[in-house]
Amino acid sequence: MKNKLSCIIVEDLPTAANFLNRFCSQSGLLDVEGIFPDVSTALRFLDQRTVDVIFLDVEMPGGTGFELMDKLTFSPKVILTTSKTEYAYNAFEYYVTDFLKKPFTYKRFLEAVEKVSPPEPAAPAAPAYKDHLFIKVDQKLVKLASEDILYIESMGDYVRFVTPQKKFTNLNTMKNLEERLDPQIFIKVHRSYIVNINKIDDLQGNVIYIQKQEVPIGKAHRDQVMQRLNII
Amino acid sequence: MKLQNQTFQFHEALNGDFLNDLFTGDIAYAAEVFNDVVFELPQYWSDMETAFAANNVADLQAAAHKCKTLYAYVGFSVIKERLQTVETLCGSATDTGILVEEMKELRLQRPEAERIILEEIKRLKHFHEKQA
Repeated sequence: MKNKLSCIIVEDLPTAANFLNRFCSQSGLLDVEGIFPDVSTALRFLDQRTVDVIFLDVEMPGGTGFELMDKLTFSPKVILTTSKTEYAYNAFEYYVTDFLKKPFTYKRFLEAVEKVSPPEPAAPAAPAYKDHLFIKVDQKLVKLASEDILYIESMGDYVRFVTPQKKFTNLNTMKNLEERLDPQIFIKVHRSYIVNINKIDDLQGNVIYIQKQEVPIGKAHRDQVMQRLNII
Repeated sequence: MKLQNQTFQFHEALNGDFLNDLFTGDIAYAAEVFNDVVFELPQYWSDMETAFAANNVADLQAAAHKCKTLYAYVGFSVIKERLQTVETLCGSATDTGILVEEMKELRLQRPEAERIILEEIKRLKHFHEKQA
């Protein structure tokens, strides 16, 4: 690892947070950019900037580490730090990089950090995206052409697909959609919104207009959105 | 207890092998962590007692979990396992009634555990000063 990785620690037990912070410094591999005792303060920080790695406790006041992962608008490496092995299955489902059972030794910590930045493999072929998707609505599967989707809005555990004719609500997560939708066509503009870039009519301040409907742009996404627009 | 080959010998109630792995000989830092644990524990003990008295199983489980983690940082296996039992029982309990005995045992173990941790802080600091 040539450059230091940026990271944050989300942990409500000061003893555990200090312990981890010390390991990060000792390793010389990580810059700790913040230590947060709960999910909401961590998310406020992550709204403004991204980090390479999140060391994430699971059980914290006001929300779990898994809830934080559900709300992330980018894809950092996540190393779960918990003293409950019962979360291992969930960790697997969330594709976390590693699972550290507290208290863990420095050796075990280093093993986890090594997994964050393994030798780079040859670039894989770009994934093929379909020009449509099927979503489950009211016990049936509805086919939606990508070109018909104006934007997608997150509503807690559900997402709403907005087309010119109709809105479809489906049990899903933004994270899942981000992985399934063609990034050439769709762009995340806010923690709760993905838009079809070809459907944007205009943009004023931090609002995108698509067929007279308003979609907010999140601060953390604004630069990326501006880069994607063909501004001359 | 005596000092052997400049390796700190933790109290027999603590998991010495684990603590030696955890602190890798950094005695000053071990003292710091023991100190942090002593400082943080009363809040979670209080949370446990409050939840137990209020018959709030979920809060009791959460507080027991935090206490357990803190005791783990000082290698207190016996009390850690008892807290694990409370945490596990809370997972299936509908009220705190079935935890009366476990809580009673924990309350009995608490003062001795605290005494040992405080004693270890003194011994760790003393050992470190002698090393310096």
